Amino acid sequence: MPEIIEGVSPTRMELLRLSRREKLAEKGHDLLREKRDALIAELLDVVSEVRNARKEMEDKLKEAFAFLIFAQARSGVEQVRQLSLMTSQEIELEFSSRSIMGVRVPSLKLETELARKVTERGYGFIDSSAAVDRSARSFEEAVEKIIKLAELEEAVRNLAREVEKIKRRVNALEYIMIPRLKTTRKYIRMRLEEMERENFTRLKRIKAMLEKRER
Amino acid sequence: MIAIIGDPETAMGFKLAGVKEVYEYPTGGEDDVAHALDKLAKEGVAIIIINERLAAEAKNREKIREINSKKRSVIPIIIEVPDKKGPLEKEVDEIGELIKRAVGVAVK
Repeated sequence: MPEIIEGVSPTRMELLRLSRREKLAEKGHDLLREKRDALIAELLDVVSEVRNARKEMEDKLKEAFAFLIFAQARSGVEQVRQLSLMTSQEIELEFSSRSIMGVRVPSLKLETELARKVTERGYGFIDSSAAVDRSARSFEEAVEKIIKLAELEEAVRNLAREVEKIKRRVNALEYIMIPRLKTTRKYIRMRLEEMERENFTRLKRIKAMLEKRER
Repeated sequence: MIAIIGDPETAMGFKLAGVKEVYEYPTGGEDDVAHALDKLAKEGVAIIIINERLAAEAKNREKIREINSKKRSVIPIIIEVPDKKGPLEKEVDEIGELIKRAVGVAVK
């Protein structure tokens, strides 16, 4: 049996206030439960997407490393390092966040294409080789995939956190708040009824006494 | 903005792709990685890419958790990528764990 809320006086006013609170709590509970279910559905949708994206990213990166090692073998580690110093580009990310049922989820968009033409990379043809080009290209593609994955993983993280929070709130309402309100209301109603009965007997008794005296 | 923290090979690869903020650290090194993470987080870098192997080191793992729990907006997003040896066999699957906690069942 849940305990009653402390400090309530058994009055009609209090009873009214309590039933209003109970109604509100129940409404809130229903709403939160619906929100939780919707978020879970959303979460489950994104999860498989994340798994695929991660797999894709890992494959791409594996390929990129293979090309890189090949390039290093062909041109020498030092040579590739030097080339890598010449290839910096401005990576512009458009950063915004959208909201899924009140959960902030990042949305990342590349403003420029990451993958460049060979001539745009900024190193000379004489020092580089096809292997270097290929490896640079796959790393560029890998970065694109990583950005996509970052967005998805962050979405999952935020959604999961929110679901947990809502779950805790739903449980608090369902197992603590609402039962407490219910028992308190019951307690007050019983007290009021008891008082009424007491009063009734008292009146009866007084009436009987008065009648006796009159006779 | 994007930043990379990784071993020399990873660093070189991403440099080839044109990423500017590249931090090179040998695996199993000292505590610099945590510092770099801190610095990047403060600078407001949007995505921090870090090698799984580096991220798996206790100190760095701790740091990542700290940054994730402290952040107020959606950035920085820290994302772990495999190095040239391929993805690590993870003892805890982070995403799976999150789902399990949120939904109550494991989802493949």
